[in-house]
Amino acid sequence: MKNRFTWDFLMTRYPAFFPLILLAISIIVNWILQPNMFDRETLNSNMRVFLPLVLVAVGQAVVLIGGGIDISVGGIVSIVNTILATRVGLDGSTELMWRYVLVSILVGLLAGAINGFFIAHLRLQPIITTYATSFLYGGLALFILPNPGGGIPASIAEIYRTTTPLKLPLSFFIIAIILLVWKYISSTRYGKYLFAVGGKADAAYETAVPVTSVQFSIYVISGLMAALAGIAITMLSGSGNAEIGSAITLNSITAVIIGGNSFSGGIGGVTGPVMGAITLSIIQNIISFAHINTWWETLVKATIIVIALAAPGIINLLRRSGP
Amino acid sequence: MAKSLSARNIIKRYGGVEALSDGNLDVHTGEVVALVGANGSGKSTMSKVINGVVVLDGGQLFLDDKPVQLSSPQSAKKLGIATVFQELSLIPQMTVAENIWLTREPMTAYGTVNRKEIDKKTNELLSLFQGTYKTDIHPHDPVASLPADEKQIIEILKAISVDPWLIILDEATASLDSRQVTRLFDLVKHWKEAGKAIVFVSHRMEEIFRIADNYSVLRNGKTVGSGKMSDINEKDLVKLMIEKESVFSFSRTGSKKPDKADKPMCLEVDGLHTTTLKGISFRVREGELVGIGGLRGQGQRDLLLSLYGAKPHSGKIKINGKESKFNHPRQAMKKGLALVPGDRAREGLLYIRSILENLLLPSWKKYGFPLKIAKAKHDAGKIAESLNLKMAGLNEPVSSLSGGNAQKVVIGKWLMRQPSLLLLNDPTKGVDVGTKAEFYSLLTNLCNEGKTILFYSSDDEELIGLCDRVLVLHDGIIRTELSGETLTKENLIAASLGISNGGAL
Amino acid sequence: MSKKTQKVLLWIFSVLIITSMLAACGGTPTQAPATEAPVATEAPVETEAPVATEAPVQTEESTSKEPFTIGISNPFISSEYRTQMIAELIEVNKEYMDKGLTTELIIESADTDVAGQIQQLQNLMAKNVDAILVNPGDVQGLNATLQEAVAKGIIVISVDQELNVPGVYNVGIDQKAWAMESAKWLAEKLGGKGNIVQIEGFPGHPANVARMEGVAEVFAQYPDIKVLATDTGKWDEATGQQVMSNFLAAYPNLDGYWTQDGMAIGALQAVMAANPAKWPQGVGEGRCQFLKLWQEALTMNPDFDSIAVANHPGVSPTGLRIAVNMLMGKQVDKSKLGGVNGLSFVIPLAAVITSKNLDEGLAMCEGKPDAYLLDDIMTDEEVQQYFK
Repeated sequence: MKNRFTWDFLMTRYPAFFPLILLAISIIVNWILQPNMFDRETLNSNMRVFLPLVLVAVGQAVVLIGGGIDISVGGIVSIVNTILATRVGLDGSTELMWRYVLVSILVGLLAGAINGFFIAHLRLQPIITTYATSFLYGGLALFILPNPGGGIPASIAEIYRTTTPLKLPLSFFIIAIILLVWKYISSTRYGKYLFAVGGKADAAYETAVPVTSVQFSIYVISGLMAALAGIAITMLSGSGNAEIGSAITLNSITAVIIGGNSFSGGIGGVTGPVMGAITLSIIQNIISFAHINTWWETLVKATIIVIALAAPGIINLLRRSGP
Repeated sequence: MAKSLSARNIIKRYGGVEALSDGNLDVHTGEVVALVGANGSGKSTMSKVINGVVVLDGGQLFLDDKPVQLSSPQSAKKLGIATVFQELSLIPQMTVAENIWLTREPMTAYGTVNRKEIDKKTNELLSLFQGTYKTDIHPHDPVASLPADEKQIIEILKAISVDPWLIILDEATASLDSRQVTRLFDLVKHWKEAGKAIVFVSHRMEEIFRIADNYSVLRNGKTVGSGKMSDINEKDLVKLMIEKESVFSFSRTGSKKPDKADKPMCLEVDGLHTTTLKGISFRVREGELVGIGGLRGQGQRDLLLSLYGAKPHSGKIKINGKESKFNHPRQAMKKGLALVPGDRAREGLLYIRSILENLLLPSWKKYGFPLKIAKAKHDAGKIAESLNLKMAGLNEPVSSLSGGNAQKVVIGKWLMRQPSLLLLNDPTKGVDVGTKAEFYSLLTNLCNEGKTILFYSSDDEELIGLCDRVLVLHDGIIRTELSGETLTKENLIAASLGISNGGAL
Repeated sequence: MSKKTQKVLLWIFSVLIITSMLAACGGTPTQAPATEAPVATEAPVETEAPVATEAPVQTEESTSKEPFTIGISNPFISSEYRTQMIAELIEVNKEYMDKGLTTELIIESADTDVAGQIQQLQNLMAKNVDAILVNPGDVQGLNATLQEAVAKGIIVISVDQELNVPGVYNVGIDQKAWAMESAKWLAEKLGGKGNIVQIEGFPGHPANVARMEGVAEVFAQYPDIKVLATDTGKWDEATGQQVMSNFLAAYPNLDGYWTQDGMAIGALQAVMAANPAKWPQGVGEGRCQFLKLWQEALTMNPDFDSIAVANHPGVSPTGLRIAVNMLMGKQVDKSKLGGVNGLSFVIPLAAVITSKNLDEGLAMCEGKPDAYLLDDIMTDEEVQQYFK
């Protein structure tokens, strides 16, 4: 008889279980330190800052499930930001804005397709390829907008910053839609292919799974999510800066790993990484509200992240050395 | 409706090596064809050809006497050909149901996988092996959590779930227990009656005779015989598998193997157990060259790694009369052991670094601090010379060497340490004939110098030609020890296949 | 115990966590008082009290109640300038704390991007600060957030970097004038004639843009000064040294070079290392390490000359003084202000060190670390000039 309540079983069947615990802990700690955390305004202002990372993490999660990695997401975020900031401008019309939102999405898809082509069709290493294209995209962003500036009309930025349907932050609805779409996708045949390719590409090929197309698609999805994140971050700041996406790449990978996905591919989901991204953002808040000395901040933050990352491994270790 | 698949004059090369030079196979509905052959005879390649996994370099496949191209697993699957792979084609992270129905999931109207349907169909398939499972298997269990035999069953179920007319069972019984094999054979009989055809690839003679109707023997990539099982016996079948005129031209210096019975014991092993070894005991005297034979994957690698302290094990090991328990290769190295790994690319060499650095890697300490680089270079040069290493210079990267010369570097780096006991793990795999010959004389010289060698090889010829004695491993135990008169190819193959306990066939 | 029961328990546990989160998110007391009560008992009842005492009641009242809480937002920590700035802010604030005018500073300081600094500002607002001193990492990206703060009645002062946001005050030196000062010195030193190179900071960074504009304006007045090349030293000493070495190799007859901040140390080190037949005259910076290096360079080549105009972090503590005075209800004399939005306190340049007063400068460095920037913090009395 096999016990279905074991740690291993939980981790494989419910990959979001551990990130859920982490998220719950971080929310409770933040709440204790910041009692007004759940005020509508505070909640909204927090969530609108978290959302770009959440979006990139979702794309990154899909890539990691599919057995790859995408280091170029920050570059794509920057390109989208600079396109919007230069083409729409501080006094652009709403119609112009939406047109370039569409262009941004196409740019994201194209950038992802370039990554996908190199990796899936030319069989190049994902980490090297996207590292190289990250400079390509980042360089392009600098070319479009060498000096920080430009922007989008404040009125449009306000849509993102202050819309709270049903008195809940807009981000909640966006995240809910993403989770629903993921729930659907993961139960389609494509979803199964995704896990199969990430789990063991050779075996998937022998089983007649279209491995190349699936590998290609994950980078396109990642490009799309990075573009959406770029749009969100532009509406958050209202301005253009070619360096805006540089920090988001590593954070997205950290969020995905905290969220229970693995570099080896084939396991995890999107729900965990969404929670991982929020947890990562909340950790910054906790540090801020815990009145930690400035000089200790980076150290404390890194320590918390390392503990969060190592926790599943530590638990495994304890279990093994136990009876 | 009777169908048939034929393969004619199949050629398949991997790099420069010809895995198949003239492969032939005929299979018809309602029959089981056993595809047999020794190690490296091309059986697995043949099954990959039929399944479309590899692209042909020559020859033609015929379906119902009409030529067909199988360019991918998809096209084979469309023609109703399914394979149970030896190297499992399951995705460990996915569930039993997901694995079985991958690419053929029952769908709902909304484009999602129909969970109820997939569970139902999975349970139906699982029930075929009902009563032989060791665990309480469930469609939602991740495959990674299953034991090896159940993984193999899932692999079988996956193959038959497409309802193919031709099923290739490539070593499918290797990890099954007897109850499960019996159940599989019942199913095979049933499939035969239902008009399916089966290609059965196995090393187990007993099973071949139990289930197969026809046989087809591969030797060195050539089909050398085929016919009805009822017309042949075990002995003749094994003879077909063995080369008649051996290409092995090396004979040990002095042709007569010197007697070493008076030498002291170098290695004594008693009751060695690991996950794959089930109690191994043997003795090796100083200066002996002892071979380890048998089919691939019978525990040979584990045996060498355990002796070297690289694998957890239990049992008693005495080196030079002193009991030794190594938990780490470093301890073994200190006691004068050296392991030459088989997979030189992965375990033996740093390809981009220079030959000198590779040679010195295990012995840097000897050249102390500060580094006596001149002495190190001198020693490395001497070793390279004695190995007859063909190179542009010691500072060239190892990647500039041919496979055979690269393998010499692997051995050379251990010889730098002056080991007393050398463990060799299939060192001549993928090495050209000329280098092999040099290699054999090197081993002989080493033995004559008083070094002891434990030599695993998948090449039966070199075991027979080179070794004083050969221990044949089968299923984690020493099936037979062959030496002197009994050390013949027939006996070695027979023992490898587990047919007889050695001696005459 | 069956697996099923265990599974059910697991689900109940998960659902509990989620519902408690959602209930908390739902926030408004009218919506679900019944569910909120049990959730609330989980933790905060005891903890809420101490937190409340920490951030005193003054938030409810107008801004004239003491003591005031002032928040600092700084998105970049890996520089001596920022280190000195934070240390000085804490020191000056202590002065006011002793008088009971302010509480401990709330400092949000970490290496972060625009989104991160927005979060810093939001956290400061959530902590109910009365004034925010922000050293912005982006000239546009914080606008909306800063306006939210202004709308809440928080006094927002941008230090070191001028922002064009209605209601946001700026305190800082005139970056352009700062750069023009040293550029003018270089042009005159060379007699209005010669070949020079420029090493700039991050291209596109607002301060760098303003400075390079000023430099270009100055050199435009001297048609015989030719700028042979411009490259970025990324405000980094090592990169500056590398770039200068390349320049020296490419242009052996260089007459002068213009650079700024920490890169000046690297540039001078490159000159000293190359020791060319003809030393170019070069612009320095107001850091003690540079002054010492300058002194050393003079022993190698007595003809070398330089100028050090301090870009002093003291503007931030000066900004803190302005904030406290404003919180105390003093009216700003807007006629004294300038800048893009008419809300900029332009602080005069601090020490300018030339060969004439190098000894004075070195004396100021007595007992200070090498990285110390020559500084000047306005006293409370001096700040009064900006108020009515």
